[in-house]
Amino acid sequence: MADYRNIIYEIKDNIGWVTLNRPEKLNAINDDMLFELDNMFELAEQDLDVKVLVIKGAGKAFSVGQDLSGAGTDEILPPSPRRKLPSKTSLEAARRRNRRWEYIFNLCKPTIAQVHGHCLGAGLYLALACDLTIASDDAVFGDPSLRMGILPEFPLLAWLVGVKRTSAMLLCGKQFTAREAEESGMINMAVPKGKLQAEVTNMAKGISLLHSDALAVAKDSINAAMEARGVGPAWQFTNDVSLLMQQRTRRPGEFNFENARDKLGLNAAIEARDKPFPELD
Amino acid sequence: MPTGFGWTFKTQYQKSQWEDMEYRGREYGLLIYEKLEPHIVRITFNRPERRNALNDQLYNEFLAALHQANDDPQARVLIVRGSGPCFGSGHDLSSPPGEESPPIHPSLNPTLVDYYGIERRRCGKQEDILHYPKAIIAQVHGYCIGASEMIASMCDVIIATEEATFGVKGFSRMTLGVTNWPCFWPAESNKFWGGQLSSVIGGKQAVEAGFITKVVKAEELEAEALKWARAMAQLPAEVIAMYKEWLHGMMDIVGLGAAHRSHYADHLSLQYVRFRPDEVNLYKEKKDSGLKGFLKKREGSASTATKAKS
Amino acid sequence: MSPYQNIELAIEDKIATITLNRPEKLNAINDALLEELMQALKEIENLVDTRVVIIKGKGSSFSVGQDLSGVGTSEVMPPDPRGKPYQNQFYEFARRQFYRWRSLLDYPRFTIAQVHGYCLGAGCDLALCCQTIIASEDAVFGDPSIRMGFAPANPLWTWRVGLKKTKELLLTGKYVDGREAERIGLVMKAVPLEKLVKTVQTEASTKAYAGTIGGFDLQAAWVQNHQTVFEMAGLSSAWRYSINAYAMSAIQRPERSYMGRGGFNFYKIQQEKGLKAAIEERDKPFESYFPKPGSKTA
Repeated sequence: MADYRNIIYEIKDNIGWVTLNRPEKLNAINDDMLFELDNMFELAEQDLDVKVLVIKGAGKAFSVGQDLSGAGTDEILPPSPRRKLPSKTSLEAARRRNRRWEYIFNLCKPTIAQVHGHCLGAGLYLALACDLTIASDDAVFGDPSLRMGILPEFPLLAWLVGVKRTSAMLLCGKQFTAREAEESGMINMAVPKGKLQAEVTNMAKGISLLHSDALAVAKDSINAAMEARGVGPAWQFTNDVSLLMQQRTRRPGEFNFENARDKLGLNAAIEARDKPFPELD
Repeated sequence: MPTGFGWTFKTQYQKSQWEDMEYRGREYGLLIYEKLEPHIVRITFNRPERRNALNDQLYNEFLAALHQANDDPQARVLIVRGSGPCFGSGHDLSSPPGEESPPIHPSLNPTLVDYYGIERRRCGKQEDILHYPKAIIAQVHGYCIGASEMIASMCDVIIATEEATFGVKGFSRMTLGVTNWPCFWPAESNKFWGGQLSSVIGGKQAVEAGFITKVVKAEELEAEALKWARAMAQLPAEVIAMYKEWLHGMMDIVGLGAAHRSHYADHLSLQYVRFRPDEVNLYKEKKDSGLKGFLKKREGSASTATKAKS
Repeated sequence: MSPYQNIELAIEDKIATITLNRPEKLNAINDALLEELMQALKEIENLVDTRVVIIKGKGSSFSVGQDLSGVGTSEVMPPDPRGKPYQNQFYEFARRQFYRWRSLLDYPRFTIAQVHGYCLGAGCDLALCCQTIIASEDAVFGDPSIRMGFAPANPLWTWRVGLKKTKELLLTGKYVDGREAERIGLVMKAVPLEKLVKTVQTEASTKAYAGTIGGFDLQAAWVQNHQTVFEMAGLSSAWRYSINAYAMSAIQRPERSYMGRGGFNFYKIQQEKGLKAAIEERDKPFESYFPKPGSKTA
């Protein structure tokens, strides 16, 4: 396949296997990986040999979400307030971020997310934008966006699990276990770790035997039920409030991730971000 | 006068209620307002002898307390709870005619316009709670039914005891609070769509269905609510406000706002109900045997139905 | 002398029971059954005192879905592409389907689907359009449309079981048993087969004989409001879309579609080897997806 360095993409028996490939960074998503994913999705959608896509992560986790190192992340993250960008640039970047998840959600081929380990932030969005999400029982789902002072840019969670659980994850910082995620409708199944690959392969194989045409129309029709409920405007609204969030006044004494990272380094900054929050189960 | 984050009075009526109250330095009669920690305020419904039933005074004091907390620049999270045996038992059905809080009295014979206005205002009060810019935790024990359940469902987080009871007692197939209308419910709670065999559910069922956030043992309730409050209190106030704006904005897009309003419009049908000869005329019961008799007959009719023809 | 042959209608005081009556065909739904079902519902609606309608199936199953024999099925199956029908026929078929199912969901009395055995395809659509489903634990629910090359036509799945489970079941054509159906919210309650009848009777009596403070008047108002809320949340739009998508998936001519390019072709196998063989070949690669139903009659 094309020269990807941050993902691996192989087609076998009509199944497109996509592996997020920055295991040393727990598959944190930076701009390079993002652009490679963009490219891969576009190719896969037009490739008659691909009937279904499976997305998984190399190493210990599916993905810990947006890369927070501060380098090469102008596309995946909202711009730092330090950069003082003109509104037009911020707006366009926000639109692209939103549209990307929408595009994946509406891809005309079925997608399966194979999740193990941590699945946070943008990793969570990727996993939930896929049609089917199957996780191993050690998977952990969460979104620290609000703790970073950015709005979660993915509206579907409230539709999947209801407003109470959404607030538990986003507002209160609760992390969901695979079992909790399954019970609440966030994911399709939680399976024992050793069985994850087999279960996903079985599912993908089954789908690959079906008519591409029927699959495309069926998926479109199911997504349309969400569309009729207002998911489209919701993506747009998310975009707008996300921009508002970027414009907010930062008061002294508030936790500032960038400052913490400059002073303490990335890992310590993440710890400083998460530590004050009690463990909620 | 008020109030941060654009949370402001919607009607002249509300504004005049506020002005009458003059909350600064005033004492609340039917609730207790405490500042637990710099960022955490706690409001306690304080009518234990009436099971925290909501009358006009308590409702207005509650909204005034929300305004007070909103004006406090430090406050980020509120905890709402009930004193005595329960969180709340809904509207105070013994309130005098003319009060907005109870269901409308047939004896009042209002015109459709009057009734419509009353329901609009009642709806607006609940919407105010939903659109409140700071985080609210409902700490629930005992009954949480009727209008009290509506208030709880407007909160962001509901922590309840295992024995807590949610719903609208005596109504078969009436759903739980309008933010819990089926098309907005998490899917596995759809078994309540068709009308489960009981119209009230316990804490454990409620959390499994996604209606409430967490269920704990009674002795752990207070500490758990505080724990969740402390988590949310870490976030800057604006972040909380914008998150809520986003979440509820999206729900409005789906139609939750319209559904909420239609629920109150639907109350109007209560005014025009006629009982068939074989049905229990509960309004007549209330006139003849008083409130206690009415409640008893309401219980009775629901359980008789289950026994009949089985 | 009952006017009905493909269903049975029994009315006792405030409760009506419609029994699908093609047990030798596992209650497969054909034009005649559909017609009689709609007729019976109309008849019941005219009886102002009947408050609850129970729909169930005779024999070993609720219903296996659309009758796939191709005979007397022009209202339940889209026009056969091999007859080279014009596009408008597909869209008009879809439109009639939409109005039929939508009005069934909107039925003014309380409907209960009493499900045992298979409940697939249009049978499952029928159950989903009832206000509540009570099933036996070993009942089997699902929609094999995708394995037939059709897009599923019913948007109610997302409303009942959520987006994730809908995609899992409809994009694979997997089936679930009664227990799993209860867990995911598809049915209200799943009980052992021997308790099914009693459970349904209890639920029906509760709704028919008491229940709400305001009696039947209030219940009716509530039902109306309920429907409005779903409208405001876009149900009919979603339904139209689904039905059109279903028609689109049926419109494509076999030689252009995957069927023509050597993929699984249901019609071809049915012609060559018969209906039973065609169904077997449709399901064979997916055997791991099917729980087995019980074989007792309810």
